[in-house]
Amino acid sequence: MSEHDFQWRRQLRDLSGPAQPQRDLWLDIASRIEAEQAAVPVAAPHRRRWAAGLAVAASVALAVLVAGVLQRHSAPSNTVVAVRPSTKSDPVAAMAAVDEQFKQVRTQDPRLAAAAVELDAAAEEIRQMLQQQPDAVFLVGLLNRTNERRLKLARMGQASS
Amino acid sequence: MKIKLLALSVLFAPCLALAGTPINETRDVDANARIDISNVKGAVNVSAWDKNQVVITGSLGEGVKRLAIDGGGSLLSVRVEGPDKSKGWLWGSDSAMQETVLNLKVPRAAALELGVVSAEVAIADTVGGEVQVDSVSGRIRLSAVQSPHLRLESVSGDIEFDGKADKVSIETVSGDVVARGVGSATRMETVSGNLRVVASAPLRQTEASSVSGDIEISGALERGGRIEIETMSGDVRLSLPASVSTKIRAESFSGTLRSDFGTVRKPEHGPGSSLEATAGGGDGDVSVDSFSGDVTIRRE
Repeated sequence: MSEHDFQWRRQLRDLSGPAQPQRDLWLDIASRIEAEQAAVPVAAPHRRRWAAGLAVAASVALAVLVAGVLQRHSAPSNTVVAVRPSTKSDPVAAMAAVDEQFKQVRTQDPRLAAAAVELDAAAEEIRQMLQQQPDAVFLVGLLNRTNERRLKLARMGQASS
Repeated sequence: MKIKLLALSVLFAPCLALAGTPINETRDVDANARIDISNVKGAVNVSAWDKNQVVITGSLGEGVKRLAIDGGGSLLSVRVEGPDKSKGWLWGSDSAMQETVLNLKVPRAAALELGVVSAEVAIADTVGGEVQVDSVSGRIRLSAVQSPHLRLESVSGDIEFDGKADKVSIETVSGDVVARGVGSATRMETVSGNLRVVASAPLRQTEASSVSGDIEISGALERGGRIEIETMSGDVRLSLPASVSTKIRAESFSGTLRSDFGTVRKPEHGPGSSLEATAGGGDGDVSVDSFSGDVTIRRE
């Protein structure tokens, strides 16, 4: 074996082992992750805000309708007036406020009770899914339609009492 | 002998009471009159004939205050009035009365507006008039009905529609819907009921949505037609003919998406799948959105 061959073999043996970095790479990686995390929310909330905006608009419109049902049903309720202004900026609170109002107009008619429970549960489930996945914009339409049905049922309940 | 008769009358008295009071009423109306009918419990059976007359037969349940028949000509109203007048026109305590069965023969082109609570509704063979039915738990069945505008709403009653209409709107909370007839513009909504469309003619514009109910649509698509399906957790099954010409867009956030058209895209990590495909010339528009339900698009 010549000196040349020996050197080649030694170099090959060194290559098969794990290569240690010359400097600490983690600092670089950490700073990149941070940069990416800072960049992502710029794109995502755009859609999220859009979905949330739709939900707020629908909720506020419904709040007015439910308030109408309530006011015809009984004396004007202070709760309805109180929840509306504070919820305009917060979709989650707005949707929760609408739920609260539906509870107030929930029918006592036993023939409608099961449907009322089912509609409340369905709206709650959609609301949770929407919070989980704000990108699922179509859920806003589904929630609105479910709330419209709740309103119809409230009106039917009123007609029966 | 007298004792025998007495015993017999005691024996049959409850049956006579349950049978109710027979109804036999006739009113002259216009060929395209609007007929409003309300009945809380029992049944409403409407069939069409070629006379400008409404004939009402059947039986009035025990405890019913009266059968109110008002109007004539262009508008006839037929209402079963319950014992408690202070309640709404349709509602009130229905435990105080027995079932009433109304059988109506109406002019073929009559428009119908029905309101029932638990009464079953069957309408057959009307042509040309608008049909609107509101029910709580009563089943609604329409067969061979042709209408420019059809609106069927129920809370828990099932709905069946066979016929043809320009505009169809069907809504339930938990009732199932089966539509063999289709409209030029059809909108169907349910919370937990199942929606099933087996189109007897090519679909033009169809919207179906549910929260948790399954949606099944099968049929041809008119040139440039549109199908829009939305569900939160229901499964969707859409069957289109191999010759269909449409763009197809489908997405499920966490359910499984399968399609005989195009290739389903799945993200490398995480759940969900989506599809964008063009079948034939891509004239129509098909879109399916599901949150957690499975979506299957089949080529027939």
